[in-house]
Amino acid sequence: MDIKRWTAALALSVAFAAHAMDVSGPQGAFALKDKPRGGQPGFCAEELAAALKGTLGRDEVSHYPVVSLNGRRILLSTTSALVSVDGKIVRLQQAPSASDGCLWLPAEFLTAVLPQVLGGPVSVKGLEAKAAPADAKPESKPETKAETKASQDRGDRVVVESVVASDSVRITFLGRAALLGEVAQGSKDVTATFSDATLVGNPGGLGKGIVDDLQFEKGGHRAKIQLGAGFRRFESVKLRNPDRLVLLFRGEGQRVVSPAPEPPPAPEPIAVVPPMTGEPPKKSSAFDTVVLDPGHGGPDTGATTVGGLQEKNLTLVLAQKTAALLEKEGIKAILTRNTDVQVPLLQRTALANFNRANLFLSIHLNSSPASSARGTETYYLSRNATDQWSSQLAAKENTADEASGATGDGGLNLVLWELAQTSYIVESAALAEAIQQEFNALLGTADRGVRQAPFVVLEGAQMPAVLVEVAFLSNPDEGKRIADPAFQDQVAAALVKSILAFKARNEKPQTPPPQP
Amino acid sequence: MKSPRRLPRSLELVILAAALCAGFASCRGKEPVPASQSQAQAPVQQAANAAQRVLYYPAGEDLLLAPCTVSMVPAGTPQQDMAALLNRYFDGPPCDGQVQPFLEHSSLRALYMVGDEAVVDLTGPVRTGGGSSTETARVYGIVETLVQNFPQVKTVRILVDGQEADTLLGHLDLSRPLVPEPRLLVRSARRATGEGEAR
Repeated sequence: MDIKRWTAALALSVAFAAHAMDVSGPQGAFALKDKPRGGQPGFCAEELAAALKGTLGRDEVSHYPVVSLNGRRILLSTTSALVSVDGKIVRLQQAPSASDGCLWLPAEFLTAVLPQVLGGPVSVKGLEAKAAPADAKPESKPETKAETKASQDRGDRVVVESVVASDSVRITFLGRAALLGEVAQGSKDVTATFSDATLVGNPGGLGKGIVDDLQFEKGGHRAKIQLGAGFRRFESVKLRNPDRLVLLFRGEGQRVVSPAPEPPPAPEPIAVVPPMTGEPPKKSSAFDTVVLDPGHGGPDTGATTVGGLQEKNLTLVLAQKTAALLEKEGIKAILTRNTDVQVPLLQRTALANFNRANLFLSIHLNSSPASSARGTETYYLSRNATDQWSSQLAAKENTADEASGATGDGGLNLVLWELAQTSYIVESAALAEAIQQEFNALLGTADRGVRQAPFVVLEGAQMPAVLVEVAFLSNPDEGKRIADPAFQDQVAAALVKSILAFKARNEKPQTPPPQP
Repeated sequence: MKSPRRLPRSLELVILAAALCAGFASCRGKEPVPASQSQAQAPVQQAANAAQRVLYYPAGEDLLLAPCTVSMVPAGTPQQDMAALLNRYFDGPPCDGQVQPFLEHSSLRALYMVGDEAVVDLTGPVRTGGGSSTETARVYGIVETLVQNFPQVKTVRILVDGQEADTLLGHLDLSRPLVPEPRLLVRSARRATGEGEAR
């Protein structure tokens, strides 16, 4: 796009914009014209770059738009709400968009991204009625039905999620407005009130003990968490990237209230899902942490045997037994779930990423319409699928009508951020082969081979990651065998043996290249 | 000039009924016919128009997708042909040694093209069951069947009851368009489709 068109568009936007946002930060105060899109306040990146004596251009590798400010490089995408600030990813609520000579950015960019670039807090005035700055304090007042309707109409939503561990329950409120939540503790409950947002989500399967119930009240503006007899204390913390309010309830133990009368009983939990709050744990380069992911859980039962055994319970037992053996080998094992709860697939790999695990292993049991099918299958992420998705995203970016000029590198990282596993395909394939060989010997079956497919639970893992389908529950023999605790021990031992072999291979010092 | 000789009215009716029946079967997929049988049984008019299509079902111990050739009467537009082929798919494999990955009453709700992407909207108990093998067979049975038979189809997106679904059975990512996975095909089919080994 030529300079004249940009200049003309900028002049037009200045001439016709009705409202201004007064921005003040470490580099002084300036004003931006409010250009709402889709009901959301925002502004043109060109105007921001001009106000802060920065530049707007395009990354030469990925063709993503790049704003350079204060010596920092902000990589943007018009198909994603992710923003990269010198490689650090920030998630916005709304993706930038390009049209009419304006690269539009949502107003929250000013409070979510700009402080990192300018090195200090940034405040915005002129948006109070539409989008309060994240660090603003909401006014506390009783809410009428009309006000409730009005705030719902504004479209601010807070998504509620929960993770239940054996000794804690974590409830997370996600969304920009979550940072405005007010938390209060009563004698039997804890409430979180969001005056300017509507709660959405279905955090079911909480069980009983520490937390007995979670209900939405006041037209979806308040979450009331009913405390159980096992409750001891709770912590709340507000975090950014993504914006969220996390309530962590601790106590004597949370039990799942599920009728599932199914054997075998799970042994005592080995590991507890640690909350993903605060800074990630510091970690050396040594191979010392593995995340084990028992497949399915909660209402998602997975496959079943003819006799009614459910995959979700068997995978949990196998993961717990494997974790116990790994701990004996001096390897920290973290489970994505320790009880019969449903954990979102993306959250499972997020836990592994947060803990900087060396390896992610998702444990499943298979099923087939052919009851004769038997043996182990080990999967790693498909390059076919991810290549296709990456190229589609890149193509969309390339066709976006945006400015060009600046140079840089690393743009494709933004595309691949959600497909992080693509960087570990080779290692994952090696791990899959190791597991497959071990299980072929254990089960004495013909090699079903290592396979590739686009598994959701593997896509975001920033470490070698595989999914193993240990045996077929649909096969009467294997279905019986996998319920046998002695065989479960063998399966756990085989998994640990594979992991140790992988560890040994990756810790082996590299042979120096031959001297010329 | 001698006018062309008309067929007896009773024979006309028989041929018309046969053609309607054949057309109905191909659209509804009620009677999947292997290519070898169809040539012997199909009416003369149907055989002349029939096209060879290949369905991909899991087969053998390893449950990789194996081809099964059937004869289909063109249903009209390419989209109608695709829909007819998938309807036939849901009736199960007419070839020996293959299994039907879908449960009974699974069916095609709609099919349409967006550019080179076939959007396949499924309904019925398509999300019932478990196991990666079942899920990959269901998903890639459809993907391979469409992509290998219709060159204009490059990717396939699967919906359930008109809605986007994260997965069918908790494993495969359905939020994005799917491309064939050669390693899920039997080795002979990889060669036949020109697909090499997975990278």
